[in-house]
Amino acid sequence: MSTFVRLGLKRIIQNQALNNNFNQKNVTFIRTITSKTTRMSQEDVSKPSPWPYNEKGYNLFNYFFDKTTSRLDENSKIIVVEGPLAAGKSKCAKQLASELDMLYLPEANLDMMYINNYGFDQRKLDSELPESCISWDVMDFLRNPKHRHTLRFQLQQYVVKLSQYIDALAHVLSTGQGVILDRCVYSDFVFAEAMFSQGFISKLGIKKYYEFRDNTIGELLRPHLIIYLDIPVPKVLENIKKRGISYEQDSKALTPQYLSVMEKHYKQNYLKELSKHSELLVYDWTDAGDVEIVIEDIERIDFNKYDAQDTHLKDWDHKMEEDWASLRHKYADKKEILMNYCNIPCFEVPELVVDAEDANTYHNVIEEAPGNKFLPGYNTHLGDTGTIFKMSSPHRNTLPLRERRTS
Amino acid sequence: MASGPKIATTPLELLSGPAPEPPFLSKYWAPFACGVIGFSSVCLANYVTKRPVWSGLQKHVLLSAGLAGIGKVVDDYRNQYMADRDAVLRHYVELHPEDFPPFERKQYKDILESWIPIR
Repeated sequence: MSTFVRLGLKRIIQNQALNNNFNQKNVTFIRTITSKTTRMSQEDVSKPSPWPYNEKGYNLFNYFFDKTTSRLDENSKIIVVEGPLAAGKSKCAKQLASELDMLYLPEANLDMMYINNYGFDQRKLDSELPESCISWDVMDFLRNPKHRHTLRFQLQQYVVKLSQYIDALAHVLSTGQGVILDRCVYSDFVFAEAMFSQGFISKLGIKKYYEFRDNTIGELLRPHLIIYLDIPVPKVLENIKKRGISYEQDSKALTPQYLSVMEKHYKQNYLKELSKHSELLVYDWTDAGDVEIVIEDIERIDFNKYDAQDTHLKDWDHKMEEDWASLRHKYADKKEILMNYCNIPCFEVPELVVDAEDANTYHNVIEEAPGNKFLPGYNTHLGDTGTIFKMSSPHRNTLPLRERRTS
Repeated sequence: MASGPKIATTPLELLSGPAPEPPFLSKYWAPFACGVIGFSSVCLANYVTKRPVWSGLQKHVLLSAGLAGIGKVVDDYRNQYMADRDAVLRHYVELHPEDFPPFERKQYKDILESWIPIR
């Protein structure tokens, strides 16, 4: 008897809810990414304010009160702008970000890692460090590509890109705002392959690189959309000349061979693999095309056209609220654990092994550097105040949005 | 004659009578030791997590005071437990005086045998 009552009541309530939805509200289905101008003309949908994932954790208790999908909308997407060197990626990505009202993350570089929270550049300490432990960033690589530190540089690039991609995922899931990246962790292997082809890194080295990649990349969600800005190799060299960054112009690394291997791996491996999952837009950017057209093309892409069996956008196909919540928890709060997957022993690769004595000197010197003595916020000699009653530590180690230095 | 605490002559006497005043150190030992452990563990935790040792002073105060309080409570509980046990024994001795005759005092000369060096 109670079953009758229950089912009957449920039916009445559900019918009413359906009627309410379709009769009283003016339902419009929006599926594509929309630009700022398009959004202005539309009805403003109220969303909860962005979750401050840098200060506040999101655990499974929060899940009951704060639904992740309530912030996600058609613009909560990850877009990656890819292309060879000096193709105008960052300019295009910046314009796209401002038009689509998304967050632009500059291309991951080692400046994000070498400069600490107090603005102290660790590279200044190179004179005190042994040769095996000195810093090695893109500038050093381009000037001296055959150095043994090239492999370490490439691995660090991978780690920084991984860290940045985790930040991007945390940002999308916590705030609902889309993210535009200038290159990403998925495409980093094209550099490793190009370096390997030119003999800058050894066979063992590239094996180690792929060990890092295979160990970590499966933890991430692939991007929704990849925009590839294609320019031919001679034009790349011309653009590098035109851009006039000294270390790029005089580089021994940026040869036509190196660039064509990069292009080959970009097109034949990267785009081929990722286009099984992500949407792909390829442009001939030889004469720097119009971003407006790109935006129009983006607005035309229907991201909801794939069904559950399709491989496309599989990483983003989650039915349950709980799945979204645990993903958000993973990227926003558990970044350290994900980064620890890079903790791979490298004893068999001679380029990566450092003498114990050198390592000791390195650790001592780095520990002494300004801003490294205590946690950020506790260095009184660098102007932090109120440490006597302070207890908090930084909740999350988010990479700074720092552009690569050009001189 | 050397002065000192009165020597009990009967088992009942041993279990009753005013207890001697405990020395200062053993009176406050438990709260003091727990307080020091609390304080130093906060300092250690600060050091390990790369904070200045004196940062978060409220943690030092709260944990030392809290642990000192716990030490005091545990010590009091133990004292009370032992007092109860003595009271039970005392009561039993009072009920069965025939089982607890006065102590028979012995001297070492009665216990130790004379030493005869033999190789």
